[in-house]
This record gives sequence, structure tokens and C-alpha cells, in this order.
Amino acid sequence: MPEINHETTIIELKDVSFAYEKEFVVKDVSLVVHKGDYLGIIGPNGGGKSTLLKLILGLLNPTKGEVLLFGKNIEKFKDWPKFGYISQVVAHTDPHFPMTVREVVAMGRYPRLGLVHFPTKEDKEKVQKALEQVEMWEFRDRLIGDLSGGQKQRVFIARALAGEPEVIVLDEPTAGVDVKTQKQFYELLQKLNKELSLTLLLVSHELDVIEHEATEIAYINGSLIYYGAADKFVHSEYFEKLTEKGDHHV
Amino acid sequence: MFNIFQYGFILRGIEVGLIIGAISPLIGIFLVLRRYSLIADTLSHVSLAGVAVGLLLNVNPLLTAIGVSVLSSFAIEKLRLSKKVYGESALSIFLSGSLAIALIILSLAHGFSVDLFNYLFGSILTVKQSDVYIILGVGIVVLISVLLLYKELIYITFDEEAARVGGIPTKFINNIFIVLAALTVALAIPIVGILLISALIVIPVVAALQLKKSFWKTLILAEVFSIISVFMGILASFYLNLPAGGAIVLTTLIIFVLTLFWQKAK
Repeated sequence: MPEINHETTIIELKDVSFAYEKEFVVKDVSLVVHKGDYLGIIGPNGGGKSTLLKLILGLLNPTKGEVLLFGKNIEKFKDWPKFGYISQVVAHTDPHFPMTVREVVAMGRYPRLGLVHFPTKEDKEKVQKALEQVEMWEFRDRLIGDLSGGQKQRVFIARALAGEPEVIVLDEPTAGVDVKTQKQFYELLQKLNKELSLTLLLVSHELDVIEHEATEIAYINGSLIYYGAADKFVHSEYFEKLTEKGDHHV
Repeated sequence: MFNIFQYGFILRGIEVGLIIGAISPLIGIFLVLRRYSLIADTLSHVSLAGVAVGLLLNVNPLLTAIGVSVLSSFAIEKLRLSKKVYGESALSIFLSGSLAIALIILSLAHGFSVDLFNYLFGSILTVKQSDVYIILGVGIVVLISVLLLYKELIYITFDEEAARVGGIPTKFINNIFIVLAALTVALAIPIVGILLISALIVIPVVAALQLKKSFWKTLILAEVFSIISVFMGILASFYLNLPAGGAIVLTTLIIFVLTLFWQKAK
């Protein structure tokens, strides 16, 4: 098992704010994500968690502040294949899209290849390896639309893995899947975090799940209300307040 | 029975038809899967304005149609991305606007109503040797461009946000793609005509999608359906004295209905 160097900074946000029109959705957020961290981003709907994720991924530009990725200002950062991204795909995948599992996972290699370069034998091997890691190789020739929600999640994880990322960013990945499948999905994430030293960023509204799974928690409601170790969050006043209200989904 | 291949105009029609039949699904598959089929209709109406300009100025209308549709494709994409209007409203504005412009230009000059009819509904009889060269040249450009960018086009079509995060220049690729779509639409005018172009671009792909195969198999099936339709349409036009554009599109529809039955029977 590789040694995780938790001191290597992967993502750093310095006083980042973002406003739609003139209304601030994210305000003065500062945080540092190290290699091997498993960060759960939680917060109420409209609290800015998905916006924060988009700021980290360069899909939105901050109104104020600075985002650093691997020590570089995001505007100068070019090494995007280091990031694997899984959006709310399970809920939104077109069931009629004509694409096999293998074709979907092969897409994960495309950013690494660059324009006008075609996949080689090595790329095909990496696709196979990624599918084996998520135990979906036997489904390689099935159409993506024919899979269950849980199987699709694994395929999208494999797509991210095929790109050999250092960070995987997931936005509400378990939306629309049953509890048993969710459990298996989180087990897979744990395995990737521990065995491959992958840094994970997970946006979720499922507080009860995240507090068990993540090592760090960022609780955002416009501004960053709590940022620190997950086990300390469980004993913090914020967690107590949330659970007093019976609010296991935030 | 006559030997169809002894006539130069038929040979030219078949040459041009096969090129159009081959490139239409390459563009069509991405348009259909991105729910953007309507842009083919819009670009074809925009091409009519280009044809009108060509007829008025006595320049090869195919060239002016290519120019006008490419320029408009940029403008459509810009208006769509500005989010000032909904995407489909942007298409509607260009569709009706260019039709209005075409009507006014055509009313300014009289005496080419027969030509206009050929451009609206297609006529392989009117394909000139110069058209063959233009369609072959531009068709090869479209074909090579799609082949070089297929990875990026597939990724953007399937999951645009993930493609962007991965560092794929989505805006650049989208701009190139819309230009390729504009070129394809303009090139198809002599064969199926402005009013039926979108059918040739969309229906073979939709028929192939019914068979539920992988992306590549779907594309190959769409190619086969499209080329068969063009070839059968031209044969029907020659032997049954039918308009080629109508016969081609009807053939695509027959294939589509057959795929529906096949899917149901499975």
C-alpha cells in the first residue's frame, strides 16, 4: 500500500467568493485539501456546495479570492487530467445513448491523449484495468442505458480511474440509487482512497453517511461554517444542532 | 430498361449523393444525441438566403449557400451561448429571419423560379461538374475534421461538463462542429433540397438508434442506411420519374419504420 503524504497540498482556496448577479452564494471560503484527504462537502440546498465544487473545477471563476491547484493558480493550471469528475450522472444519463460500458470508460482516457491523438493498445489496457478495479469488466459490452443505477456509478468511477487521476470529485453521486447500492458505492470509494491514495471530494446532502465516510468535513452555508476532521465535527456544536432538528439530510 | 450509368447527369448525381450520404450521419449522430436536430432545419433555411444571393449575383449558389450558412452558424452559436434567448428561440429567429431575407432578395430579381424550385426540393439534373468538385472537396474536409475530432465530439456529446473538467476545449470544438454542420447542410442542397436536408441528416441516425448498438455500430448502420437511401432514391428518380429528394427521404422513412418493426419483433 503506498504511503500517503498528507502534507502535499492538492487544492487551496484563499478567501474565495462567488456571486450570481450581485448575490453571494459562496463567501470568503478558505480551505486546504491535502493528498489522500477524503473531504465531504455538506450543507443545505442552495448553501453553495455545488458552486464551491464548480469553482474548484474551473467551471466558474471566483468573483473574489484565489483557487490554487497543485500549487498553481487555477488560471495557469493545465494538468486537468489529474482530476476525475463525476457529476450527478446516474440521474441524468440518457438511457437510450448508444454507448457500451467500454466506450464510456474509454472517454476517461481522451483528455490525456489530447487533440488529434488516437487511443493505443496501452489506452485499451488502462480501460480494462479501470473496469477490473470496479469489478465491471464482465459488463464491458453492455449498453450503459441497460445497467442499474449502482452499476452505472461503478462505470463512471472507472471512467475517472481510466484517466489516472490524483483527485476524484463527485457531485451527489448517489442521487437516485437505493441504500444497499449506496453502501457498496461508498465501500468502493473507501478502497480507492486507501489503496490508491486517491484524494476524494464528495458533495452530498446525506450528513449521516458523510460523517462516517469522509476524513474531513466542510460544512458550507454561504460561508464555511465548519472545516476540519470528520470525527471532531460529529462532536461539534454544529452537528448537535443539525441532529437536534432531526436533520440527517442537510 | 435504360442503362442508368450511361448518363453523365446521373453519374454526377450518384457521385455527389454518395458523398452527402456518407457525411450526413457523421454530423447527424452528434446533432441527434445532443437534441440539436433542429439546427439542421435552421441552417438549411439560412442556406436558402445564401442561394438567393447567389442567384441574384449570378454566382454559383452552392458557394454563396456555404458562405452564408457558415457565417450564420457562428452567429447562432453566439446568440445561444449568450443565454439572452433560449437555444430553440435562437434557432427560430434565424430560421424565420433568413427565410424573410431570402424572400425579399428573390422578389428583387425575377425569372429564376425554376432554379429556385430545384434548390428547394433538390434536383440531381442540375448538378454541374463544378458542384461535384466543390462537394467532393468540402466533403473531404468535413470527413477528415470529424475523424480527427471524434474523441472530443463523443465526450462532449455524452457529458459536456466532464469533458470540460478534463481539459477538452469544449467551446473550440463546439464552434468547429457547428461549422461542419453548416457545410454539410449547404452541400446537401443540390441532392435533397433545402426543405428535406434535415431529414437526410436526422432520419438514418434515428433509424440506427432503434437497433440499440454501440456508438460505432450505430454510426456504421446510419452510414449504411443513408447511402442506401441516396442510391435507391436516385434509382427511383430515374426509373419511376420521381423527384430524387423526395424519393431519398421516403427511403430513409421506410428504413426507419422497418427498424421500428425489427425492434418490436425482437
